[in-house]
Amino acid sequence: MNKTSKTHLIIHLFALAHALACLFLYNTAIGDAVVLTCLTIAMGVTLVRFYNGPVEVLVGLLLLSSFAGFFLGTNGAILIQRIFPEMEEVYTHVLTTTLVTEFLGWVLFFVLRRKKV
Amino acid sequence: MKKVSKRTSLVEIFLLAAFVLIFRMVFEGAIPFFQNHFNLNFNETLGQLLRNYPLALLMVVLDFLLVWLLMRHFEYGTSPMARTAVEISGLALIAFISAFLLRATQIAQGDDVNAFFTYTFWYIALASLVFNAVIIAGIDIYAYYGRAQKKALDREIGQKNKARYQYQQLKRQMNPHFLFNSLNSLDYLIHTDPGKASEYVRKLASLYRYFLNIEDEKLVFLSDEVAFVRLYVDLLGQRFATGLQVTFRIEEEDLKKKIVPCGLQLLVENATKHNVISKDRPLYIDISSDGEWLAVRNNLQTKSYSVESTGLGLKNIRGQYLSASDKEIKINQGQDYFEVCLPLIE
Repeated sequence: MNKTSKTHLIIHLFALAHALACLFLYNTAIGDAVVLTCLTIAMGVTLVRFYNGPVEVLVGLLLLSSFAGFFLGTNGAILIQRIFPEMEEVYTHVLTTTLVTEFLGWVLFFVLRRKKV
Repeated sequence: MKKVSKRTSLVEIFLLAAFVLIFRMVFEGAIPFFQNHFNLNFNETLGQLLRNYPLALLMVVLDFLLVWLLMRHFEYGTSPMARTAVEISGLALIAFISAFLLRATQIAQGDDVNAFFTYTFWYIALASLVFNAVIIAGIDIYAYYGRAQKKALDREIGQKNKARYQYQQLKRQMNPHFLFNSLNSLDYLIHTDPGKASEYVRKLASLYRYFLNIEDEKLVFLSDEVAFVRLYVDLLGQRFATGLQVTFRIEEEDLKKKIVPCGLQLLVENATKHNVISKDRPLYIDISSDGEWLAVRNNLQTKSYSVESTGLGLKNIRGQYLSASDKEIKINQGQDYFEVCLPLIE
């Protein structure tokens, strides 16, 4: 399996994990926020480790991806609810978190695959 | 600063990830807390900060300044944890300053002066922290990859210069004109002065030994290069006799400094190649140093039949200097003289 295939696997698996966490935790008392944040950070760390990324920009990348995930996820769910008003709320969140995770994963990939200092 | 491994350790990654997680959790917990207890809205507070244009501009300037200072004092790959700690401290300071300034503006506009450091202050600081964290992270990532690209480009230029230099070296070693002229001179000496011929062969051998010794060197001591050029000039002297007059005025302490290999020899060779040399019109080459520069100056009496110079030799020396020390060579030309100054490197 080459490096790009492994990247595909990492990102898709994390997107799936996000979707499952959201599906099972969204309507519970604990909520899905903490687990989703942990998963987003874990994806960032995995990709940084996989591409031997620089630790200097690790915090920046994790902060950006975690906040971007939060804001894109929240606003994306509202947008999807507007487009598909009959869709159940939990599914709009599952769909949003999957799309946002894929987006963040590939943005991280494009940043990390560049040459290092 | 001591260079440490660029590979991030698991502990470092865990610590940094934990920091990001805690920050996110605090942020996520603080928003409803301030909303429910003090009726403060995050977007509204952030809007207040950003609508104050001078303050917003100041924050962005401070963010740029922080990243610039980090880049100056922490080279990438060295002390990443210390760098991150300084970055976070700087971020907190910028958030505190911006909250302080916004509160001061609000008090000036009529807010209660006794309620300066209240929950409103800390909420503004939190909003500012988030805003500046995003800006700083963005600038830092951009700066890192900008520098990465520059380094990659420099590396490629360096490799190109090295390849060109090695090619020039090879050409010089095999220079058929030089060898042809040397062998002709040698043939003449064997018949007229066998003692001198033997000395000539020794000098020629020393010359080629020097070429071999400096093959992989980026810089050589000026003392070695001067000794080599003296040999070279001696060999040229057999050919040009009194038509070529070379003077050396090198300061004793400059001999310990360095220049690019064959740099001086190439300048002497260039002077002899492009100028008329005869007993009636001698070529004077003056080699001198002043602590910073090694100057090679000759009187200008360009050959009317010579092929126009391509400047490849000088380009090659310039490339070597840029690759070895980031220093530039200087070329001065007057009506009756031509001078090239090579930087002396400590």
